[in-house]
Amino acid sequence: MSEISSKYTERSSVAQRTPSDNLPDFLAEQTKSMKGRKTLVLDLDETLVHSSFKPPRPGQRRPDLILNIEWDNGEKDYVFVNVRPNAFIFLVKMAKIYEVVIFTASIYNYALPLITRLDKRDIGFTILSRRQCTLING
Amino acid sequence: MKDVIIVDNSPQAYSWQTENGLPIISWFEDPRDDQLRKLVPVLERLAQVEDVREFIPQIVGRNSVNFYEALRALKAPREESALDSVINSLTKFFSGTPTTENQKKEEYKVPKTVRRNTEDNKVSLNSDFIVNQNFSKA
Repeated sequence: MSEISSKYTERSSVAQRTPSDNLPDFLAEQTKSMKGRKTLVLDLDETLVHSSFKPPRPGQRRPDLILNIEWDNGEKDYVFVNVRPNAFIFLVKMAKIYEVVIFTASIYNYALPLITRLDKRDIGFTILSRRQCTLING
Repeated sequence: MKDVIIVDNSPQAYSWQTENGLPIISWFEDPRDDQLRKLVPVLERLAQVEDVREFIPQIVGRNSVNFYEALRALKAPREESALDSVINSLTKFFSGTPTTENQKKEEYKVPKTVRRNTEDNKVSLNSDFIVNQNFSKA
């Protein structure tokens, strides 16, 4: 897991704050290869993939990926993921012209293995997950 | 912020930066979904504009991207290929005036017989060219 995560950048250590505060930089400064590019922030759930905890019923579409994720409290769960049509080619094309950041409100333990699988060409996207989120009216 | 684009199925995600957000239809299982494919040319063009906030309000309406409007509002990304430069220099040589893509297209449409004999036609072509130039700057 550590080998994988070194390819992907993640920012940690986020304290409670309100939107009016000056937000710290979540994203590291652009690396040299990304300099001057625009940033494309993509949502994960319902935009690139659709995932579910329920196994598909007979007759339903077979899931593209099955992930075994571990929650923060140590429990494990299977997640059945369907990938949106054209998502792979979309990511490859966008990674050529943008600095791609994948954003999700779900946990990093789910986002990382999923994005690792989505990233067939080893592009290395930046991940923003629940740890970097600010809770508002939640 | 002029270089950031957010693609998300729920507009709340970018409710503070509507000028940076591209909505996309939530995807659950439809295997014929082509939103990502349609988004590629739009994003390719947005990658080349100076400020994305200028264009995004133009092309987003009613919680979806108006793809037709988007392709109209954004110029096609195009670098001058080797063939283009040859054509350009040839037309320069024969016409003695600098050419642009727009003018080339115009000349292409004009039938040979008309092009050969009229001075007026040339004038109108040139004025077209000026108008087009202003247009692209605006």
